[in-house]
Amino acid sequence: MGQIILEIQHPDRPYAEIIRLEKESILIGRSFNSDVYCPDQYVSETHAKLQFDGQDWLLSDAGSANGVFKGKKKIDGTQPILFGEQFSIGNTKITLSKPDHPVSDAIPMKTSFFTWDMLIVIIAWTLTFSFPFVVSLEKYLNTFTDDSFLKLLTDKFGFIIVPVLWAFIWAGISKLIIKKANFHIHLLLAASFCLMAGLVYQPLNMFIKYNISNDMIFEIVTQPFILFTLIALLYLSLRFSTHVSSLKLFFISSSIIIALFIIINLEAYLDDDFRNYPKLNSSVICPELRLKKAKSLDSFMSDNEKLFKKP
Amino acid sequence: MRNICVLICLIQIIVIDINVFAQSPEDNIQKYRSSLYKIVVVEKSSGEKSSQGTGFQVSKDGLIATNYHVVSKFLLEPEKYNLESIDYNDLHDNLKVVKFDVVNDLALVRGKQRNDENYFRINKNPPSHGSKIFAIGNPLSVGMTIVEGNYNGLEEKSLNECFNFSGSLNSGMSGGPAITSNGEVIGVNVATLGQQVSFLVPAKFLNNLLLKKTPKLQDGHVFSMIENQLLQFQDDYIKKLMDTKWKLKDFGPAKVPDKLSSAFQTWGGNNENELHLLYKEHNFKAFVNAQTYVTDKLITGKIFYQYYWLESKGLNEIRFYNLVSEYLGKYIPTDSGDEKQVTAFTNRSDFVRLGKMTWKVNYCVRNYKKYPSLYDVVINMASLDKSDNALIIWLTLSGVSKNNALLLNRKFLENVKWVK
Repeated sequence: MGQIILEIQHPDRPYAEIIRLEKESILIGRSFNSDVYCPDQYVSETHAKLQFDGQDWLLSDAGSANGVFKGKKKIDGTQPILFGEQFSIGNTKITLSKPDHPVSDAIPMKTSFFTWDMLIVIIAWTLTFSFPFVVSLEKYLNTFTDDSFLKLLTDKFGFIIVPVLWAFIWAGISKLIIKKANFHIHLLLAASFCLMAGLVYQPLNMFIKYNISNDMIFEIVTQPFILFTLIALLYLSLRFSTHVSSLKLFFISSSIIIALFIIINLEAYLDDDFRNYPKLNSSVICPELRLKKAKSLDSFMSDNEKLFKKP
Repeated sequence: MRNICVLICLIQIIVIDINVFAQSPEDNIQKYRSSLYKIVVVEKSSGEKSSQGTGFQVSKDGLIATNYHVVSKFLLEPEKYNLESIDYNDLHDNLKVVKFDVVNDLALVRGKQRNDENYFRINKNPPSHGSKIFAIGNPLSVGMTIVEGNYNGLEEKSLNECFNFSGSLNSGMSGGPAITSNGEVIGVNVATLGQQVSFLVPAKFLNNLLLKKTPKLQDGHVFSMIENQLLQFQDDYIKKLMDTKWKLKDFGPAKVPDKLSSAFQTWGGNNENELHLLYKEHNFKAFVNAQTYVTDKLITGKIFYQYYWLESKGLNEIRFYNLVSEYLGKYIPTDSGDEKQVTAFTNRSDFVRLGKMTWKVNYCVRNYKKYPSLYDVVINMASLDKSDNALIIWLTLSGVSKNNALLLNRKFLENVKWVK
């Protein structure tokens, strides 16, 4: 009986299938009764045959529709095939190997100190503990007494609860729906969002307000940024808590945030109590960040004339 | 002998004269009680008293003088209120407003036609400083009362003239006469600050109103008449302010307008006692005391300005500019007026170069709904170029025309000079 190892490279699989056979005749095809089953759609029911003649293996076409090829050449009749040679049927490639074909030693496995999961945990907690610092920094920059930064930090340390609470809630939802808590991913999202609000949004808000005096233009510039950030936060939180497709999640997140925005702004608009004092643009930052050129007094007073409108 | 008789006659005449001209206030009340009235505004729907003051007859045909603010509710909303007088016999009479002067807070009203010589005579000249004055009125509905005090001259801290009176006027006495011991009216009770500090409208304004020829008051024209009076008033005082050269004062790194006229009161202060603060604050404010009452929800005619000079004591640039932002946004609402009287403020903000310094300036305007030629204007500004000291300025004008607001604002800003 001939012993042989066949390495079968199926077209839809990354790794070759290794089959060890001890037979004199091996039928290869798409039939379930074949010795070697090839699910390739271009392989016939009985496609190729390997025959051991006591010394060598012989390859022949077993009545296939598309032929058997050694390299690019279609075989004709019966041909000998040696160990290490390859033939193809359909998109499947089959290599003959000796049963005692040597295999190299296994490479020793290196254990990585940092995995992605550990990285997420580290970053999430770093950002979470940074949040009270950012809140304290914000408070420090707007406090004009000799209170130390440490005292302010002690007062504001409780803010750490904000991202942690958000993460707990979403981890609970994740556990219920996808059976996996993803706590640290949600913590990372919440802490990132909180830090961005303090480190990016707040200074950006002041910068824009300093340079744009028109309330409507200010809202047009800043509201989309807020909307986008909130939609992104909700989308990612849902993404790591459900199996719903990305497109559907995007649609759901956008709808919820836009609806809330409309409700809140509508409520603010309807409840807008009369004020008998002006709403002032009081944002002042360092003069290097001023984008507009200062006007002359004449030009300024001339522009003010249009404010005098009769009711 | 003959000379002695002449002397005795002369002495008698003098004594009689003294008796005639130095009647006690009680005598005057008795004499003129039929010419003194409670003036009451009654709400039509409930029939209840809404406000009350005093009035006194000033002409033979029954014209009664009182304050504008006593009758304003009736004047502005005649469909909701009635105006009545109640005399010493408790007889009621319906009144109509004949003329009014909103700036000097006077009104002339009339009930039934009369023919009565027993009315108060007006002396349009002020009495001598320190002389005894008797204010008559109906305080807190307890009945006609006399309050004795002294005439202390013109109130300086006011844009319009009024007398200082050292008696304590009470609520309900508004519109009553202030008379000399001769029984002549030299003023009309108008306001009090309590603690024996009160104010009278000089009788000359009442005399002017009596003599003024005005068309018959019609309901639809009241608002335009008020508007015209207020426009005239602000034209007069703003013209005076524009025509004078303003004195400037050193304030921190700048020279800024000091008192614009003697009518202004000024106050100043600093935060030196607050040792925990990392900045120094010096402040100065100037304002005119008296304002013009239009309704209980709208009091106008205010001019107010305030300066803050801030110096850093170790704040970094970011913190210092945040401090400036806080002061710039710290507007204390002292403007009166509700939604029915005034529009909301519309404002714009710009960077303006004044001399050596760049400023962020908020310019805010609102309109009076019933008096569309009148506006309230607020300027609020902060210097920008120095990261360790800054000047913040507020200026408020109320009840001014567009042209006057722009002129006065411009002159004010031209007089803010950064020198260091």
